[in-house]
Amino acid sequence: MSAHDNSEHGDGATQLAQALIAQLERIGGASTTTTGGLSAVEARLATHYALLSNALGNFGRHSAVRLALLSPPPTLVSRPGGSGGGSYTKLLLGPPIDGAATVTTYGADGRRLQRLTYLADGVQVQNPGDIRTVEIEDSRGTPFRVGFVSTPATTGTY
Amino acid sequence: MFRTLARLYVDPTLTTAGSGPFAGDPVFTTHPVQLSRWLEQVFAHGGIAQLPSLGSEPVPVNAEAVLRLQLPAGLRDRTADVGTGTLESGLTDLGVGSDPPTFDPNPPAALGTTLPLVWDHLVYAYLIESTGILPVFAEVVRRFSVGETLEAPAPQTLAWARATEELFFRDPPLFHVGGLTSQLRPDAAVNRRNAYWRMFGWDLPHPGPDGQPWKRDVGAAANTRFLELIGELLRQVWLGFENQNNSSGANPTDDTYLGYVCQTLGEMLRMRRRGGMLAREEFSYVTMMSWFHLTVETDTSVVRDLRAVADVGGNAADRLAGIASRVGMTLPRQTRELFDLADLLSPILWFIELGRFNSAAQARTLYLTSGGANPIAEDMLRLIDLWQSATGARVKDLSVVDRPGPAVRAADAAGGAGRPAPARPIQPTRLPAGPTLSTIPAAGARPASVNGSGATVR
Repeated sequence: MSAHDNSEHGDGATQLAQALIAQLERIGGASTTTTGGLSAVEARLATHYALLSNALGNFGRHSAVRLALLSPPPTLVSRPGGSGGGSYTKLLLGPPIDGAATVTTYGADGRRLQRLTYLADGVQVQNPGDIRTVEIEDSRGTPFRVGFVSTPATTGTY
Repeated sequence: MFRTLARLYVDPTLTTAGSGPFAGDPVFTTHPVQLSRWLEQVFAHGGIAQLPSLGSEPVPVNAEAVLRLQLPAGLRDRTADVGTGTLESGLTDLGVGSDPPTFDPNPPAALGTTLPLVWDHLVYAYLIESTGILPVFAEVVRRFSVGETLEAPAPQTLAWARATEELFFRDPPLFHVGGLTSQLRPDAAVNRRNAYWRMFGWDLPHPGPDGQPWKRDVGAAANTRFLELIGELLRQVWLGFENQNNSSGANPTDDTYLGYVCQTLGEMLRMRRRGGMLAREEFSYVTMMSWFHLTVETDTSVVRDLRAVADVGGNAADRLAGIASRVGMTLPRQTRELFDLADLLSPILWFIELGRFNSAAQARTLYLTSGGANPIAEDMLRLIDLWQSATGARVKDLSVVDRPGPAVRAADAAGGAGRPAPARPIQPTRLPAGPTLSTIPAAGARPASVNGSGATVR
């Protein structure tokens, strides 16, 4: 008679065993998450490494498939409007990016400036002159594209 | 760098997914004066310093040194504000769209110069040169130039031979960033060996000039512990990889120590770069080696003419071996590993120099493979395989500690003869439980040098 049959018949020992197994699986699952997966910081480190590796020419070599990590250079566009009749600046990220959830902007010193919800037609940013790089993240907050702002916002209206 | 240029010819923004390698012939048929000027334009952008920062980590390439060594912007680029661009390369999307590539007379920024274009770490140049690629191609170019002992080259091959000779076997243009030979240091080969020795404490596996002049006047400033530390790094990474999923029992992985080894390596390498030392040398040597690497990375015109085709999916080592046999040379048996190691070790060492594995939390990314894709660990594991294969060091057998002494040449990887030093703990600074003064033997009681005895040629 199988354990399944036993459980159907309300065998107390089998039910206890199944509960224990379920508990162990929960513990095992939690353990894997704690020791195995990359944290957001580590994942960002890994993305930057892949970016460097690709930039050095290892794109697709050595068996490991590397995805495109550079996004087309984001551009800053100043537009009239906004509060007080002034203007606001939008960061345009090129063609829609599958899987993008958030956009984080960084300054030249690596300081995080803003984290914004990704919008395919661009995101409104503050202090555009400080933005040096842009990272596009998935729904878990892991960056998978990096863009270098090609034109400083301080050079005028685009 | 030239391998990246080959990619830029077909993917100017480096944003298209696809796999390399990329054909080298369009680069080889570009006029050498444009290539030479393009190198100036790339150097001026600072290489690794452009990589987005993660915080306050050190930057190995000294930005001020680059600023002071580069060609003035007005000569280098033609823009509205800064000058005439008399020495610009004219290598743009438009310029490279024709065959052969032309000079774009009214160019936007040159190819790649608006991107984070990074050049390889000096270790790339060392490992590629260790394959023996340079003497092989020197002989090929010489034979093409002086006689007909090889088949008549195709026009593309002739263009490659001309560009190779102009770029690497004669003095570069005056005031060029690659102008590293002079009356004071006339031998380019000695100059390269000098840089390798200072940075890694490594000699090339093939013989150099008598008397080892590249070690003269270096002083005590050679990183002779580098090999010892890189071996320890690989062992610790393997230890971490083996034990990463332990959910019960002891886990000997020590992320703090792993971070410490990385920090020590990074500090050691950055010491040699203080004030921008070796910046021009590194740029020039990795550029030079990437040219030759690109030559054998695909079935280029040169490879076809020398009947060394390895087809799609073939590797650079096989092509180079074929070419070497045409000019009566033999390569070290580790050539294939050296090519692959060069690609993998270069970004790892850049990251180590950037201090990005210094903390325990960062260091664990060197081995974590569970829980999602981790290109760092993937590369490290491949690197360990290649290192074992090339050097014979048993990195994965943690019961064997084969610690070479500081003076051992890393050229073991290419057939050099290493001399094992007495095993000793590698982390004395963390565990200062070494011998006390009373147990240290007197100088006269130390064992005699074993230099040369028992050396094995791998």
